[in-house]
Amino acid sequence: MSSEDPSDEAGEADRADEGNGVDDPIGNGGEADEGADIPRRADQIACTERVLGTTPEAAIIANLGVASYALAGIEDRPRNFYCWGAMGLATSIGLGVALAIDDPVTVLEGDGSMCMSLGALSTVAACDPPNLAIVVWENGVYGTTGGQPVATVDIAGAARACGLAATTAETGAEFETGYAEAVAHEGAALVVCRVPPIDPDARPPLDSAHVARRFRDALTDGTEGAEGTVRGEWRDGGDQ
Amino acid sequence: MTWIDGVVSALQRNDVRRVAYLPDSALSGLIERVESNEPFEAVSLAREEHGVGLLSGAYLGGERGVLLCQSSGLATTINALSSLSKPTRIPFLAVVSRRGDLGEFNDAQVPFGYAVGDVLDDIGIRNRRLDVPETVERDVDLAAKSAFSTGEPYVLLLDATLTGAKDEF
Ligand SMILES: [Mg+2]
Repeated sequence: MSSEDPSDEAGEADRADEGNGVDDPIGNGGEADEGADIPRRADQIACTERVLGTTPEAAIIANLGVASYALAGIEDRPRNFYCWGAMGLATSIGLGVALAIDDPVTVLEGDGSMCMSLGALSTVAACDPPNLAIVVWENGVYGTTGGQPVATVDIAGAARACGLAATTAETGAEFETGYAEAVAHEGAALVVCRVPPIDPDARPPLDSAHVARRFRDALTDGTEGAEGTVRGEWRDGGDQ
Repeated sequence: MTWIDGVVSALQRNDVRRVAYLPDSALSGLIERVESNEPFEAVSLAREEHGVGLLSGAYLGGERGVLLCQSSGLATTINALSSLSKPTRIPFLAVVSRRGDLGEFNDAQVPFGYAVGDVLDDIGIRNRRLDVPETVERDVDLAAKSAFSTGEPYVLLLDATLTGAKDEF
C-alpha cells in the first residue's frame, strides 16, 4: 500500500528477507539495519503463516478482504472459511464453530470489522470456549475499500473489558508468543497484531457455497448433522 | 398445546439444539423454556445479526440452531442473511415476534414490523406469519425441515395476536 508509510516499508523488507531465505519466518527482522532500537513491525503474511504453522488443524474463519486474501494466498485449505460478505461477523461465525466442535478454531479479523462488532466480544467472553483464538490484524485502515482510516481503539483493552483474555503484539516475535498463548489459554483469547497495510493479489474461491460445504465436510467428516435422520422422517411424512 | 409447546416440540423433532436469542417480552416464555432445558444450548447475544453468524458457524460445525428475537432485531440481520446465509447456502431458521401490526402501541415498531414479510420477500428469504396456536407446531416443524433440506433461510413471524400483545393503551 502507501509507500509513504515507513512502517509499511519495514513490512515489505521483512518479506523480501524471507524470499532471500533469511531465517526470519515471522518477519521480526534478525538484524535491525534501520533504526536499531525500533522493533520492526509484524508482517501479516508471515504471521498468517505462523498461525498455520502453530495450529495446522485449526478451523480458520477469515474476515472479508485482506485477511481472506492473505490466507488464501498461503494455502487454500478445506479448513479455511472465507467471508466475501458478512461484514463484521467473522468473530460470531468463529464462536459458533468453536461451540460446535472440539478442534481449535481461529478467527482472523480486521480492526475495522472488529470495531463494527465489538459487542460480539461480550458474547465470546460469556461463552468462553477454550478452543477459540481471535487474531485482529490492526493495520489502522479499512484495507479492502482503499485504506481509509479506522478509529483508533485499544481493541485488546476493549476485549479485556468484556472479560476476555487479550494481548497486543507489536512484532512478529511478540505475535508468535501471543498467538501460542492464546491457543493454550483455558478460555477464549484474543491477540491484536499491529501490522502495516498490505494489498495481496491472491483471492479465495468465489463460490461461497462450495467453500462452506468443503469446510463443513472437513470439520464433520461429512457425517454430522442435519440431513441424516431427519430427512428420513421428512420422506416418511412424519406425523403432521 | 400452547404455541410455546408447539415451537419447542418442533425444534426438538428437528434436532435443533443451539438457540441464539435476545430478550423479548412476547417470546419470554419460549426463551425461558429453552434456556433451562436439555437438549437446548442457549446463547444470549449482544445484537441479532451476531446470531446469524453464530448459528451459521454452529451449522458448519455440525449443529442445527434457531434465532429467537423480535422483528426490530431481525432488521439488523438483513445484511447477514443476504451476504452470508444466501450465498453460502447455510440454512437459517428464526422464530420472530412480529411487532407493528394489530395491537401495536409504539410507532417505532411499525415501519419494519409491519413490512418485515415484504422486506424478506424482496431479498428472497422465505417467511410465514403465524397467528393461531393450532398450526404452530406443524409450521415450525415444516419450516425447519425445509430450511435444513434446501440450505435456504426460513423465518417464522409470530403475530401479537398469537403471542399476546403488550397492553400499553
Ligand atoms: Mg483494517
